[in-house]
Amino acid sequence: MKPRWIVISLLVVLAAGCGGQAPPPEAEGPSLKVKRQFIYPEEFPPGKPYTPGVLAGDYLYIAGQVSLDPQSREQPATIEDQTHMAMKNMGYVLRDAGMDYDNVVTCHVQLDDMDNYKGMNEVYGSYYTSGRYPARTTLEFPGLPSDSHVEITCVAYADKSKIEVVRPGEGATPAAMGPYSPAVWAGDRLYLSGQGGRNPQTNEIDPTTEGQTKQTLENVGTILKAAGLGFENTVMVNPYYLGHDNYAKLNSVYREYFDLGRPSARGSFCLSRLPGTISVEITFTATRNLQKKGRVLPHGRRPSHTAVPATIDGNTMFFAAKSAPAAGDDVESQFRASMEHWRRVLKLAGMGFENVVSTNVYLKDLDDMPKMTEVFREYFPESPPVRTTLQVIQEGSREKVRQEISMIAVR
Amino acid sequence: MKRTSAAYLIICLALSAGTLLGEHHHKVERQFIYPDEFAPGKAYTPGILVGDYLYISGQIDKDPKTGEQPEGIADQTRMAMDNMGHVLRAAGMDFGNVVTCHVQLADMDNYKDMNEVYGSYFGPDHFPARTTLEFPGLPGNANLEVTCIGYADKSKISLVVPPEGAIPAAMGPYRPGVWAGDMLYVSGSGGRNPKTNEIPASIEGQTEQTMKTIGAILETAGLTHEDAVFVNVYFLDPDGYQGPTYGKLNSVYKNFFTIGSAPSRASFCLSRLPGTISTEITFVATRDTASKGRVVPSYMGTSPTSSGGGVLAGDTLWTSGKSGKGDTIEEQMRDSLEKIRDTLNLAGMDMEHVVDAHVYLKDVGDMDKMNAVFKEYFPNNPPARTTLQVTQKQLEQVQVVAVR
Repeated sequence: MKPRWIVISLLVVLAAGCGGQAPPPEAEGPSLKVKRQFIYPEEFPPGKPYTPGVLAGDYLYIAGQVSLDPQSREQPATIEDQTHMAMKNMGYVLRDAGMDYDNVVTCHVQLDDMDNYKGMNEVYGSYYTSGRYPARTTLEFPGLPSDSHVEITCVAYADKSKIEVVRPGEGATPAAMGPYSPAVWAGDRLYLSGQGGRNPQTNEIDPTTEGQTKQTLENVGTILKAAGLGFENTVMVNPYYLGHDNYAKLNSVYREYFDLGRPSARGSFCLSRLPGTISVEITFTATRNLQKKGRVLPHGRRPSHTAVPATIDGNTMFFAAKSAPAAGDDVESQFRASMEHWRRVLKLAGMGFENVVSTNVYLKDLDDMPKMTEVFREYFPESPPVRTTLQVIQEGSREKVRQEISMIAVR
Repeated sequence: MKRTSAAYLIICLALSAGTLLGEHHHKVERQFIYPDEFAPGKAYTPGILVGDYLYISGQIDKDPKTGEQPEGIADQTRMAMDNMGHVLRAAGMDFGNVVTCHVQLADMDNYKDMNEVYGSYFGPDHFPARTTLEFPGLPGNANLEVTCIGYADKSKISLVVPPEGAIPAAMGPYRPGVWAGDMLYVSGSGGRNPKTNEIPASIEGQTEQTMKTIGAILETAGLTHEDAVFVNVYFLDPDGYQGPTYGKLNSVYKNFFTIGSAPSRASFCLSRLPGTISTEITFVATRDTASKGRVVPSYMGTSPTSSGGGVLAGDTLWTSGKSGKGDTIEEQMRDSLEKIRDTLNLAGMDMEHVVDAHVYLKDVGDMDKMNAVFKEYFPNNPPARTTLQVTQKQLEQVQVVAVR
């Protein structure tokens, strides 16, 4: 245990148990090995079902920040001011965790209109020291909460001396289209930017989904290699694609990159638009600590070449996205079934919902948000994790899927 | 008022210190059973009662204080059983609580005489599941070593007996399967065809028949092969794993599991099995599939025959057998235990959660060296343990059971 945590814990226990000032809520107990702090800046109104930021060890998980004023719920008129709003909201969480923007290691920038890409970029980039941009994935979703035009979800790392940008050689991967780095180390974990299928030599994009997926994974492989890693080091992956029919095509190529039973946890989503003209974008997280990596499978789960239910990286567990269309037509039944599934997986790893630090909820219809939130509160009555909620497209064989939930838990 | 605050502060400090020192919290209560009859200072604990399950160390046929060994297999069997009785008694149990045993002999010719004495400790309605084997070596030149599990709640112990003729008739005082709570212990089964009473000539045929016999027992209990959490495979081959038997056996064994669903497993080449069979297989299964699952280190691929890591049922984890790399027994043993730690860590456990260990040595003469490493990993409250000699190229193999 690090000495500063002993001091903080002691102060917290004294303050909490012995009638001092209201302490920053901090959970501990036999199942919580890694110390954590729940960050709830005063700029945010109380009573949210999620916590704006959870600092677990050195990793700060930040809830998706929308472009609305946290108190008045007003949204500025332009994408520039909207981006400022979301970034400032995130800034409050960073500040309360004792960090600044240069602690940020990876972000998902979620837009409701990809036409705003350029306007967003200018403002977004201005928050970071030039040349030290976080990894980033930019996506257009068919819907964002509260009609927000931008929602930004980031992870930050407390120890700046262990943040390092990975740059493959010039021309090895496609040139960045905005203010992001190909990949960023945060301690033993590597966050990669979302990659598309542009060929770095010819600058062309293959017209087929299979060709794009292959090129995308080749680009990812180049970045991993530059960091001294391979696909076996990956712990979590999010493929994004356009058009339901492309899912199987994507998988037919993706599976070639992983041995049976040894892919990482995965959440794949059908979106409305991706940057430029790509129709597949894939975001990876990897670890250099291969010895402490493993997988968790509940009884009856067959091994595949594309996903495992959960990957463990040391003290952290990454969960795939879980849907449960068979549980009922309503979002509550489906969400509860997903959560019960995750309860089983958590238990196999010796954890429970109190270990969950971060959640991503993907709804078919954002109007289901209040119902989903009600169930969310049942599972996280106290010190809830951070949360990002997004609307995705569920069509074809996935038409009945009303929700999917992906999580990160820490011992 | 000030005094109250000061006292309160001290209490608070004490409470917080308790948390901060990272005391080990076992979720499932456990008692370390060390009967008076045993000499102190052993590298293992004679018995560990964890929840309702009592894991008993392998008991040999020697006086636990003087180390003297009686003459004749009858008295030797009695000695081993009485030693086990001390553990049972100290845990508040008797022989009626025993649910499964491995009887490990130095000479299979003693099978019959062992049976008579062994059986006399149990009423015919209470024969545990059993696996009887001849090992090429037992610790301390013992002629017999008996390893059993007891279960505290007799009301939840029940026998599983398939319909007449579905499996071969028992050759001794054991029952095909025994329930202990949600766990089913299946007796070691061989390849005798229950209808023809014949044993197939090929190893493949024997393995097929063995797995079908186990299937019949599982089916009677309402389970299937895939409900297994842990399996021991024993086979005969003068060349050990390098010989042809192991591969042939596996080529059939794997067909009984969907890829990726095989239980944890430890396989051993022995010197003799009961009767004329050349493979014997022992199953442990669970009916609690909702809490069942597996944790596998990423450096292990998907095997058609083994979990490669650990299989969990409820709060209990069974690892597969692990052999280590290195030139010496110490290096190999350390590497095995580190691999086991990797699997335990994935399940949120560590060495302190291990309640039962099986150590298989190429040469039982390496016992002292193995013990030194074992003590490094289990300095306090070590697990129950059974040590045996098997025919293998590597110097050691370790397999454990751990409980949260």
